[in-house]
Amino acid sequence: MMEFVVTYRPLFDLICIYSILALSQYVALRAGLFSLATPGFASVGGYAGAILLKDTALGPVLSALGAILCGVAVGLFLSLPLAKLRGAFQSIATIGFVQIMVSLTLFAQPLTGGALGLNAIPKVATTGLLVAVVIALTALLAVINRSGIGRAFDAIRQDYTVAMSLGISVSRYFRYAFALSGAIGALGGCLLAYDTYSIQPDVFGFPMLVLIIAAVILGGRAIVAGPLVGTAFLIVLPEFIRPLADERLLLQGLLLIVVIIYLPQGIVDSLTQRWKLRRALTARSGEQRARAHGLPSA
Amino acid sequence: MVSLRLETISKSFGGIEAVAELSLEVERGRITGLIGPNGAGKTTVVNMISGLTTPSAGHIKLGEDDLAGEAPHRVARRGVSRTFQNVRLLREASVLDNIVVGAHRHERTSLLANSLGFPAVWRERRAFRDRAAQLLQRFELGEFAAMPAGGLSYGHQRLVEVMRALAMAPDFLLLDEPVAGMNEIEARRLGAIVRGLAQEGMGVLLIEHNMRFVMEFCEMIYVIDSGRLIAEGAAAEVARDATVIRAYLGG
Amino acid sequence: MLAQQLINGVVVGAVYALFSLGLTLVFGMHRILNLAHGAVFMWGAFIGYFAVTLGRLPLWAAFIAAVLGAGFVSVALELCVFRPLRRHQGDEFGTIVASIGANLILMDLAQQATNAQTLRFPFGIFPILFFNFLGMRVSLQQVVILAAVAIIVVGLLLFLFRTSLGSEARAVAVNEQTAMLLGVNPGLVYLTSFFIAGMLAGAAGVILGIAFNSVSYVMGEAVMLQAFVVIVLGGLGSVVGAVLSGILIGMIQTLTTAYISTELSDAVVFGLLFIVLLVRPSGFFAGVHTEHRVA
Repeated sequence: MMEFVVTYRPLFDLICIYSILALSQYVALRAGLFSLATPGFASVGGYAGAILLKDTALGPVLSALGAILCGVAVGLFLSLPLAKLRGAFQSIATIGFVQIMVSLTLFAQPLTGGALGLNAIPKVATTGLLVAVVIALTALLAVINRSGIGRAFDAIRQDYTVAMSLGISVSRYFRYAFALSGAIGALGGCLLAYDTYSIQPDVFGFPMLVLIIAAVILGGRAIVAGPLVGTAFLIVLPEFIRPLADERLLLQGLLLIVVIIYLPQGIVDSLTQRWKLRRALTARSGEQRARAHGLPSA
Repeated sequence: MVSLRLETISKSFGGIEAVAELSLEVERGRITGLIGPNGAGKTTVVNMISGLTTPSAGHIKLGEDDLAGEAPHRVARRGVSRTFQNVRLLREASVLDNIVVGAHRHERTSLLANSLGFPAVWRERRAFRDRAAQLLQRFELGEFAAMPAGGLSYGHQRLVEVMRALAMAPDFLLLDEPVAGMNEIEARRLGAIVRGLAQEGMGVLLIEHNMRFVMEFCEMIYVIDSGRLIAEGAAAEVARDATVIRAYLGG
Repeated sequence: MLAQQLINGVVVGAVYALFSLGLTLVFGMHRILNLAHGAVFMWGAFIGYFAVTLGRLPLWAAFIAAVLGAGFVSVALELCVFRPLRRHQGDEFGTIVASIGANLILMDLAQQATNAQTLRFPFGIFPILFFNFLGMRVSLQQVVILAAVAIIVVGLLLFLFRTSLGSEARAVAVNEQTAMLLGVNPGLVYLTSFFIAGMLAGAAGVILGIAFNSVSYVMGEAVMLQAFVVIVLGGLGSVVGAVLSGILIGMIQTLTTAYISTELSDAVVFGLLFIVLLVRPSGFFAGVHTEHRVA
């Protein structure tokens, strides 16, 4: 039993960290924002968190907080032009942003260690902490989903013209989504640094972008559990199908295409949609029967 | 009570003049009709009022304020609500949720409160959902509350769209071809509901194709053709107007 | 010296323009942001390379093979990825995700085929000849590149504005439903635009592969950022905009690399993108579509 835990704990940690990153991506997509900026936010958070922890006396909690604030700031900065623009522009700019973060972290050698990155980062992120963060974020996002923000997000995502005609300020909610996505992404990157001892610029590049977007598309974009399921699936699966590990890129590409065409809602949401529909039909027939018997409907 | 007044508004797309120097007034408590043949510019007028399009010239007065060029969400927050020619519901969301979204303008809780789940947020949510349920009862569609909106019949979807506009509790309601595709019974039901709303003080602008519906329910009618106003007045007058008849039958 | 760098910049920019033209056309006409366009470009370069080394074709033939080959790869993308997506009611975000997936597949295949090595065209593939033009050194290669790009752009404009297929394409760009009512077959138009976009990308790939003497499976990624700025600055869907912006970005990039640093040239280009999006997101030329604002 202990051997199992020892062998698989690093994998579990990774699932937790990537779940956090997936949640950052999820927030953006939930709001109808075509942002793919999460790896860039993670880079900001990872480097900020690591630098603050190693070079200042702030300690892990405050350093992480600092990383989160940096993420929020960068998110708001991106929202300056992007909150008022349509999808394709947001994608273009955020993909460019990810690339720039890789370039900048490579270039700013005195600060970021260049290609070698930052090393000997104290491992302050325990598995327990990671799980707690995942749970806390899931709870936070579940609350947001049920609140007025969630209602606005749903409206904007499904039809932003209608949302506007109902008084919803799309740019205001996009700014919020950028800030929240930035905060969560930065936290994820920071925890990555605090868990894996070292970070390099290319950790936060396109491979991360692809993994995260695949996790959210596969798992689902509506219910909070979606990205968690997707992440677990994508990280665990290669472990069991070793020979496929060589074809990783190819399979991820195929997965993206197949899922977005044939199961665009993702696993979790497709299942819950069916369940909700069944419940709605039962409720409806209940109402009809009540009315037929002259009873006041619920 | 303030009225909604369009003062010589015009709109050109590229070289094409979609609307030219149109003036009309929508009074509170009355149902005003805007009719005209296809392509006459009716939807462009609605889009200008609701802020989706900016007029090339003219003013859209709500009391003292000029709405021309305002962003759509600001127009909505002033109490001007609209429906769309092609029913635009949030297909994945339930009927109830679709209506609740309409209440957005009345949200008083802050972004922070919503993020952290303060009690006021849940009270507000409950209040909005109750109001939506009441609307559903009033329209006799309570049984569909939990159904995904995409699964309803066309006529029912139209009604849900109206209920959503009502959840906003607007002062002015712009209905863009609301009875297109409805049968006689559904259309009458909608007409009765709209009349009730007008009696409660709402100003309704009804854009329609269906002459009978317009004649029956509108107190004041404006007729538009090729972007210009060709007649205005009470239903009976307009029906007799020669230019109107020519516009409708001529081509 | 400055003028020399400007010439280099114009040549690089012309290639950026060629590459970006395909991207902007497909987006402008069909609202499809094809992020696999860079991979098509890269495949064009490889097809040209293998045509020369394995097929032993002369350069002009290899060029044609590359251009056509890239066109077919692009068409394959439309048939295997974007068309099925449309048939299943995919939305704009779906096309972006699907194109990311397609990009991965194309890149992985190329990576495996070349063992991730950077390949170089055989020495002397293009005659090395220099001219003296107003005191600056201009190579024959640069002249040929500029001429080729100019011919291709003129050809494209003639196609769009003088042929019936071209005007059908423009009709679909404005409104697909209306175009269908007028008897246009949108499926054929999609194939045509993807084919043309692919050809443009393939041409750019071979040219860049020869000009910088390197062909690798990541070469597409390196150009995408520049292409993004070009199509936004030039206006989505605008041919003239893409050409002028491409040349401008080429000059800016070359100057930045020469006078500041290579690594920062990316940041400068991104900074430019950011500013354009902030100040004038519709770009400087009216494209086929100008609908860009949300709130």
